[in-house]
Amino acid sequence: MHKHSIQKLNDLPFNRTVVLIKENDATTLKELYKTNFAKVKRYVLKNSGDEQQAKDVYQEAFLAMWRNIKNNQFSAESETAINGYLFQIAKYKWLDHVRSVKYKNTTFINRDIEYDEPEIEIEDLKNQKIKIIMECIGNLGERCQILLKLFYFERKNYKEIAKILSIDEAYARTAKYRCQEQIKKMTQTNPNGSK
Amino acid sequence: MDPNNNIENTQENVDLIDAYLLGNLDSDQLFEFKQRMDLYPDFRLMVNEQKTLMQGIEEGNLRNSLNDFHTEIKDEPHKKWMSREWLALAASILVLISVSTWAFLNSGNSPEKVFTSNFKPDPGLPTTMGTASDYEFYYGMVNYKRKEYAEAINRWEPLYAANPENDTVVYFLGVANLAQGKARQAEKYLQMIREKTESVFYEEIRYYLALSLLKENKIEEAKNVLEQSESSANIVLLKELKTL
Repeated sequence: MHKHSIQKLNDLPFNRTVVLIKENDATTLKELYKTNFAKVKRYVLKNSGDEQQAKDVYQEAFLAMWRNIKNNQFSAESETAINGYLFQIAKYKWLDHVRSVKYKNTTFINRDIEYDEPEIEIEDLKNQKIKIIMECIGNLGERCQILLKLFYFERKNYKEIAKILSIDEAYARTAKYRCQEQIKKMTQTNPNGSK
Repeated sequence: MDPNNNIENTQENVDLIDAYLLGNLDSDQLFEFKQRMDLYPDFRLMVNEQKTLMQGIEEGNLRNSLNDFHTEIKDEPHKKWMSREWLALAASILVLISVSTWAFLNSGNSPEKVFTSNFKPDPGLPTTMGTASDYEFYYGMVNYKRKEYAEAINRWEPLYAANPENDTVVYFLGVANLAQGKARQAEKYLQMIREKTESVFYEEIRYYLALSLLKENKIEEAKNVLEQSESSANIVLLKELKTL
């Protein structure tokens, strides 16, 4: 693993990229996504998977990479570049899938894989809560969805949000609070996440 | 400091926790904040809950964006949609539609009729997606989907001015104008991008351009636009135009 050469991500210094990923910078995330899919796809296709499976495993790996970076479980100052890290997670996830599902008895030539198993990303209970929240978001009104997205995902401040939604700043703040309360209530009434 | 008073789920507390989670506290505020978490477990609990909420919102939005990112991956096998099976299916649909078109035409036809029977605005792009830099675009998309075409156009025109190369913006400006009955304006936008073979909207651009021309009674030009088109919608429309 450490012998791998460090791949560059659009010539950005890693720590800068990490900051951008933590801030959910859309351009950075999109470029990262677009850059690494082909390699993962080749790997999955070579190892008895199809394109859809490659896409699924890649998206899960991408989210895991993003979570680990957010939770400071992956330090980009280390020798492993983000691209390499993403590929390793995807590879690990695919091998895991292949081993656990239908190929239990198949021998793989590719046994000498080297990868760092990603640490358990988030503890189960928290993971479960996040899942419920994700399910509840879709049941919010469109305005609330956009408001919360702008605030937490796109990291806009209230002034910017007010401008985008053509409302005043104080109202944007109150509206965001109310939307947040709504989603909290939803998660409390749907402890299993079912609609 | 009355701890109970401070642990209430007030907007003020929520705002403070947001500032902490988003890294907007200065060092003094941060010190105080952490001290408060150490002193009051209930406050810490509140912080953790809000953090989980934030993570859920972030992850949900990122998940939604991934398929969007994926559509921008260009690779060769994607072009293989003109498979034999597909052509067979398209041919059979074509036969079916030709028959119904013939029946329709026998009852008399006009450019207006062809236009109204074929024009349906593009359903638009999902509005829960989008990138940080183009929120104006997707907020315009919210308007577009509500059929508030004038507002959508107002939001998108500055985006077009800033970046005339963005074929998605130009395409939706074209369709929105056509939906408003402004065929000339629609034509202007769609002509700009008709040669963009790499656009994901390539076939749709031709479809709506042909409809714009049809609305302006430029039937021959509309036919030319659709010649050599490969989508079944375009082939069917061309057939209909040839009967005018």
